[in-house]
Amino acid sequence: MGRIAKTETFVGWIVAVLVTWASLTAALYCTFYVAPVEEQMGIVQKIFYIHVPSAYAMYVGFIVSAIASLGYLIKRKPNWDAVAVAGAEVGTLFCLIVLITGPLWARRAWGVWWTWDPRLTTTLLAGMIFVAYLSLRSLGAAGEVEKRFAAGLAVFGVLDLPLIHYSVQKWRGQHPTVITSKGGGLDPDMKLALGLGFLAVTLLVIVLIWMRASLEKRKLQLEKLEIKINQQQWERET
Amino acid sequence: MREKISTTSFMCNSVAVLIFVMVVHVFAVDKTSAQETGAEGNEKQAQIPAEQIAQNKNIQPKANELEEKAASDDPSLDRKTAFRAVKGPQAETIEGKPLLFGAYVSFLLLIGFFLVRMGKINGANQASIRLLEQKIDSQNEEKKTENNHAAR
Repeated sequence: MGRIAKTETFVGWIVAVLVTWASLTAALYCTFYVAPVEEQMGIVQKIFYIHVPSAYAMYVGFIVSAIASLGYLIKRKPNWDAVAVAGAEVGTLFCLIVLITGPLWARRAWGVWWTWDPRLTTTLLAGMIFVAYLSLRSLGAAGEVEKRFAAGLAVFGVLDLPLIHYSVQKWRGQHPTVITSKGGGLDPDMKLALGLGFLAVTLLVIVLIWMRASLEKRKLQLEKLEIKINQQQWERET
Repeated sequence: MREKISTTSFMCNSVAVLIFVMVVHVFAVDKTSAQETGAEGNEKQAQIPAEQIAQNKNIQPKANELEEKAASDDPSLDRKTAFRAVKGPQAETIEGKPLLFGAYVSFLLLIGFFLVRMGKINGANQASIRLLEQKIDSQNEEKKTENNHAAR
């Protein structure tokens, strides 16, 4: 029975990875061969098809981390903590991607690599908060208190996400807002490339969080088992 | 005791981070408003190619519309709200291809780096499993010898 479950999990992994890979390939194909070149920005506008889905993946990662951290603070179960770490790591990874691809686009569109635009500043701030979270977790073996403190930081850090989202509406800035509730100002082929980008990155973020959380759970189980074995050995010796 | 300290330090750190957030936002807003004059200059710079395009297409920008746009308080009017496909040949001032290439390569590299990191964590887990197996085996052997001694 256990072997069947393991085989099913393994097949699930393979299918998830293959579907993610296929959608990522399709998204890249659409970006470079289907989506037209933008009239003012030129070819560099194609960064948009990876920049925006990455920003969305960053939101997903940080929100997953905050929800799991809240779950850990309430329930104190290690599985919640494992998911929180996975979400924070994947969110920080995509935050880094956003902070790299954005300036590359800005160099061509605005003529500068970086400007203290509200959306850029708040995104940097979110990244810094979650880097602090990961630093706290990586300082040696995290004890119960450190884990709880880190969980609190993740819950606190996620409060920056609404600031990122609404900063373009509430404050003046240079960041474009092409996707709005009134409908995006995009060519149909651009919409297709962006849609595929969203699909690929959604699958990627799910697979990455799933993989990382599984590894973290196993690591926690092993740590627990090691303590138990060492305790047994110590009891026998004494 | 440790819990009390951690709660206090958590509260202090939360307040410190909150103050930091506020300072950064105030700085960002001040910077934006202080740069409004400069931003107007930048807008003028940014309008140069738009005006050239308009002249090329024999379209005169309406003065009233521009005035209304400048006078409006709606921030969404200050930013680009649509991307349109190019029609005809294009001319670029800054080469876009290296930037585009850099963006996609960095995306793939970072994802690859993360996968390698997960592989390393998996390797460390496997090493711990082997170590624990060795420990369990040695404990079992010790048990056996103890039992044999007891039986004798």
